[in-house]
Amino acid sequence: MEWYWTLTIGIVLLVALFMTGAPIFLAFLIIIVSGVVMLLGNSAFGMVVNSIYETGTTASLGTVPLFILLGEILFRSGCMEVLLNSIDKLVGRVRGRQYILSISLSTVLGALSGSAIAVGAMLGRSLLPIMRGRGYDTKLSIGTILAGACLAPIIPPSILAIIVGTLADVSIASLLIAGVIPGIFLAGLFIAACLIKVRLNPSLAPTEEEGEKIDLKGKLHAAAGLLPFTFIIFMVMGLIMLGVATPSESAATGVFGAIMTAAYYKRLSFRMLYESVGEAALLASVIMLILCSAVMFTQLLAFTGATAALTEVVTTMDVNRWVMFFMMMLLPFILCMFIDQLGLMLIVIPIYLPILEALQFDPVWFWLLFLLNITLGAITPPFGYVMFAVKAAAPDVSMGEIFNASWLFVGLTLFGMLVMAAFPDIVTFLPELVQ
Amino acid sequence: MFVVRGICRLHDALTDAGYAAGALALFSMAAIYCFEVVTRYFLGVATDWANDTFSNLLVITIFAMVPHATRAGQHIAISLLWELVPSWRTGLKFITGIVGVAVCVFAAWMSFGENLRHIEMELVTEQNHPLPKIWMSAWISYGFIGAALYFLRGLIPLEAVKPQSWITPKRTETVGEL
Repeated sequence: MEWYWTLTIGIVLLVALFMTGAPIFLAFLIIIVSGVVMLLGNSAFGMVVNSIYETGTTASLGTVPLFILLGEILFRSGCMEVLLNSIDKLVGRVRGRQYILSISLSTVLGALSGSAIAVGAMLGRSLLPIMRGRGYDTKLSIGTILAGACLAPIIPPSILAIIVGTLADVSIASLLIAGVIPGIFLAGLFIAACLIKVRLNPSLAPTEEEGEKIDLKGKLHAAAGLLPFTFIIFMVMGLIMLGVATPSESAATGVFGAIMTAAYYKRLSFRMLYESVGEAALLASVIMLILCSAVMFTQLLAFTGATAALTEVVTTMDVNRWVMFFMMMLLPFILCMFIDQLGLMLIVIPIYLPILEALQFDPVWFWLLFLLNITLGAITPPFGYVMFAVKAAAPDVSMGEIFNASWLFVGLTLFGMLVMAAFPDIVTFLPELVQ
Repeated sequence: MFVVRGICRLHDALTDAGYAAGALALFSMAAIYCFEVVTRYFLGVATDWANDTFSNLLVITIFAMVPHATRAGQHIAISLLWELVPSWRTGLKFITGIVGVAVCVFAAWMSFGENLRHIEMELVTEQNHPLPKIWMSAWISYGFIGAALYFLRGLIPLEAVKPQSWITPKRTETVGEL
């Protein structure tokens, strides 16, 4: 069978299996087992198990469960509420302040948890009712939550960044650090857009807000309340940047920081810790099982010769590399509207990898933009995960309203990606500085 | 039926034990790396076992939890067709269950074959302090066979085979969902 048929049939079957609602790891295993039986025969079964074993013992992937644990501890201990109150006091009394609060909070929460769904669900439950109650525009309020949540996968600690780094063989530390400036840049862009919208249409935010005016002492107190969280960020990012710890080690020290923070706020208990560790291990197991299967799928693709042949075709095509870049970004943007980010990522990365090498784009820059791109899938209709999380948190808001809320921020993120494509230093500056 | 119920409870108990092992392994991973950073940078003594132990614990964390993830219906799936055509939901779930049993049994069988090879050839890990490979690879078989049994139990509409959990009772509300 020609390589393009092998590749097409493999991918179409995989996507079809995804769509049936079968667990993603099962879909991968079906394709792998069928592929191995047809292409390699029974003697290759040991290879499948050894591949799963090798992936399962890859130390760099240990960062995934540890970052999940970090987020679980912070969420379950209730430390996030302290964070919410402190940032609320610091934002000030600008008109449209709750929009700023929403974006700032989701950016910081994303930095601490790395999970867009968790951020969307939490703010949908806690902040959205407050914003609506105070007369803020529902659509724009939801939009700010969706937009901020979609930054979680690029701002470290990011689980998706670790997975991309591992599969694409890019420095995980560089990829994690690379997300800092783009994350802040996009958060700034979102805030600016909201303030401009409020200025142009004052009905989007109430004139006067209830609540006490916070004096300087109160603000200093609120800033002090954030210090334990900066300790966690230091334990993760600081130790990587100082060269003290590897990403996996920094994830472990981050967990230690989260436990200390919970203890500082007197919210540390054996039960909370036990539940956090159990849930984190469960979630990590589910993700890592898919990864173990996906790596074998990548190896199988390479074995069929499809990856090498596709690379040859692409590199011999007379197409401008920027056109290729655009196409490589357009494909996941469209597919992520329908397919889960993780599943898509695991299919696309092994195919993109050799093409990317041939096109000679900076891998950190490219994969960071790719991450941002697939993250948009979580806030793009019709199957954006974060949208469903917000909908679950706010059942009285219609799905149509949530869909409409996202488009402004999808557009802004795409604009931000264009800026980052034109000025790669926004992405590569920090990783190069650290190196 | 009494025997079937007993086997199912034993399976549930083993899954609970796997849950505890997975959670303990994850906590140990965090503790080991914190210890490694402290000893390396504050005491100037790097360990030669932390990385290896971390890797070994990772595979335990992943596969010890797989049966519990299946029992609790926590595997990541895309429910696109279920949402578009709700009437297909039951049928698709049933097919997924059958496929789940077949694929997981097959994966467990492949893994078990590899386990036997590890024992027969007395293979050890390529680490500073080599350990028998079977200590880690056996968890892969445990994960797949445990998951296969839950997929199978999900197909049988009998009270006796309904999954239970003592260690995570809150999860029982989703137990049995594929």
